[in-house]
Amino acid sequence: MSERKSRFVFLAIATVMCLYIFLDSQKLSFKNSIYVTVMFVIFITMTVWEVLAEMRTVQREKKEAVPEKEGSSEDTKEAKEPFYKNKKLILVAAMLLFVALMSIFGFFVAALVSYIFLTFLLGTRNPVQLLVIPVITLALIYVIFVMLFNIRLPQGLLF
Amino acid sequence: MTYLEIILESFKMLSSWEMLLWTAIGCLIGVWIGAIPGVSAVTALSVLLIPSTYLKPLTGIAFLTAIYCGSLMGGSISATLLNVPGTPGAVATCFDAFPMTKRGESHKALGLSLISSVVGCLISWILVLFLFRPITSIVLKFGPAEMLMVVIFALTMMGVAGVGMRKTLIGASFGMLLAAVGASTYGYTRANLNMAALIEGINSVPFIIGMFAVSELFFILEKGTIVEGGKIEKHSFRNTAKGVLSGFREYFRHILTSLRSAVVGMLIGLLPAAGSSVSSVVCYGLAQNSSKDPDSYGKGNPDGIVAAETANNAAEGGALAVLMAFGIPGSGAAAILMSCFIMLGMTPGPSLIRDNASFAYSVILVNILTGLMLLAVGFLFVLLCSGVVNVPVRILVPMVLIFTFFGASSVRGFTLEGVLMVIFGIVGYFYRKGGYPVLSLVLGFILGKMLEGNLIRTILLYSDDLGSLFSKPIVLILLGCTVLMFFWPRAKKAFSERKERKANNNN
Repeated sequence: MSERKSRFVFLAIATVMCLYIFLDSQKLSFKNSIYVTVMFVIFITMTVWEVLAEMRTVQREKKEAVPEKEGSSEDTKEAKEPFYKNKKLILVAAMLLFVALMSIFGFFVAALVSYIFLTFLLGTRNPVQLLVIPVITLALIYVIFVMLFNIRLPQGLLF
Repeated sequence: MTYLEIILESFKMLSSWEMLLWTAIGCLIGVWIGAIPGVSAVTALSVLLIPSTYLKPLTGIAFLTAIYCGSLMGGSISATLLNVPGTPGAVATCFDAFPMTKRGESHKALGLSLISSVVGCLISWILVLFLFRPITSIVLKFGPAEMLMVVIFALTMMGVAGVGMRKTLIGASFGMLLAAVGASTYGYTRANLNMAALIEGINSVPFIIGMFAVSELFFILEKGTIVEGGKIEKHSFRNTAKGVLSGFREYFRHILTSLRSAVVGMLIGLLPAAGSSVSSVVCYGLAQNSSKDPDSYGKGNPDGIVAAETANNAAEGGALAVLMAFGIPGSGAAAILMSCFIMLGMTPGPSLIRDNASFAYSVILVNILTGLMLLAVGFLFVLLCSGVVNVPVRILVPMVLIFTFFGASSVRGFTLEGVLMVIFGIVGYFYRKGGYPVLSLVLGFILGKMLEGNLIRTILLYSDDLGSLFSKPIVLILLGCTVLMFFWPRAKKAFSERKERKANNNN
């Protein structure tokens, strides 16, 4: 994904998050919401300015543009790649799997399953790397941090 | 008892092999705990608090303070090798240490971090040793107005990021709005999605791990490697030791930055709730601001590592000095150390200095000793850990993912922290890829809560007579520093442009 596209995606996500914080704080009295309001005004002003500046740059570039060779840009390369081979999407899927399993089965099962899922899809086929390494790591985490240091990790049906 | 007699008496209390051994063990535990993201020194201190009371009083306290000191250094190891700050204080270390790793200079960066941490620790404790009473008395002069000015002063540091005001303000205001989630200063909740777990706000651990570590995983997968251009350093003890020693040599070129960061870091450490994360970011900004080449910061400038690492370790000296002098714990770790003092029958506060001055000074001396031990222990740890960058990406990324989830979830044992970490990881990837400055976002998030609280308290206290704020000398000094910091980079740029123009005209 290009820098510009990333900027737009970030600004879209951040605007939604900030808008929610701003709107939710408006239910409070003036003295409770003034700080958030000021910050939101700064954020939204700068964001609108940034978007306008970006759009102006896009228009200028379009006017000056020489047609790019097909397949030369980073985006085209990404688009050509089937989505299930896109490593960044695999990582997102592994994280979502981790979160989903953690709330049902607890940290350790979620960690083991998503480790195997991610490692396998990133190209590892060696059973030692796929199974033995995560089992030893998680066993060490359990013994040292859960049993010895008494750290609380999300628990589920199995662990 | 004269000051000299107290110091001599304190030295006598140190001469025990048992204390040296427990200090070394404490350093080792601290460095190890600090290197694991999310697991803070507070965890280790709270678990080892009771066992430490079975030791002799000074040995017990030396053991716990060594853990605390070691953890601050340990945080820089994962920050350097994986862009994962092991502790919030190591955030600013990531800015330059990880780019050095990407350049194939991880060993040198680790050496710089280690020596800077040790020097930061030593200088701050030496300052405390000689100026214990005067510097700790500064704290009592700090009310909400002074704290507000400290926060505003710290916020001016984000102006040095060099990416333009628009991007900087987007990052800072976004960070501040995220920090506003949860209870307001008056105790009303806002934007907590009606979740009880968010009433306390967004915890800094999932935020920092997400913004740095998880977003970095996307970049690593994108490039297929940590080290760019195939400049992977061979992992052998000899090679690593050579690299670390070259970092030590490099340090001496940045000694002035280190000395300044140690003093400023220690002074910030004196302030309650400021701590190592604020001190390291402020000193990083100061170093960048005073540099002849501020644009090289964030791209692997050793000066940035020296400033951040010296400051975060120096803050510890200030925080513990205030704890001993007034019984005010400025952080979670300091609160646990305070419990240890009390359990051992040495209640921190003015009575400790009056009745057990030699004990208080031996704690200071033992921390100087800890700083020296940290050099040896940290060196060994660095030798063992430095090979991480050579692990293949297909193993490294899943393994780091486990540890990031472990770090985030271990904060309170909730799944929510894991969810937040994933969200901030994805947002962080687009943020960093879009070229927005990480420094302003982190500063906004860390200082947001402090800014709102102190602003409201100041308004409540001085709303009737705002003019009296300007009769406070500390407020005026900090205001002057803030104005100077705000205009200094601009003035410097204008001067250099004028100089260049003149030179061009002459040619």
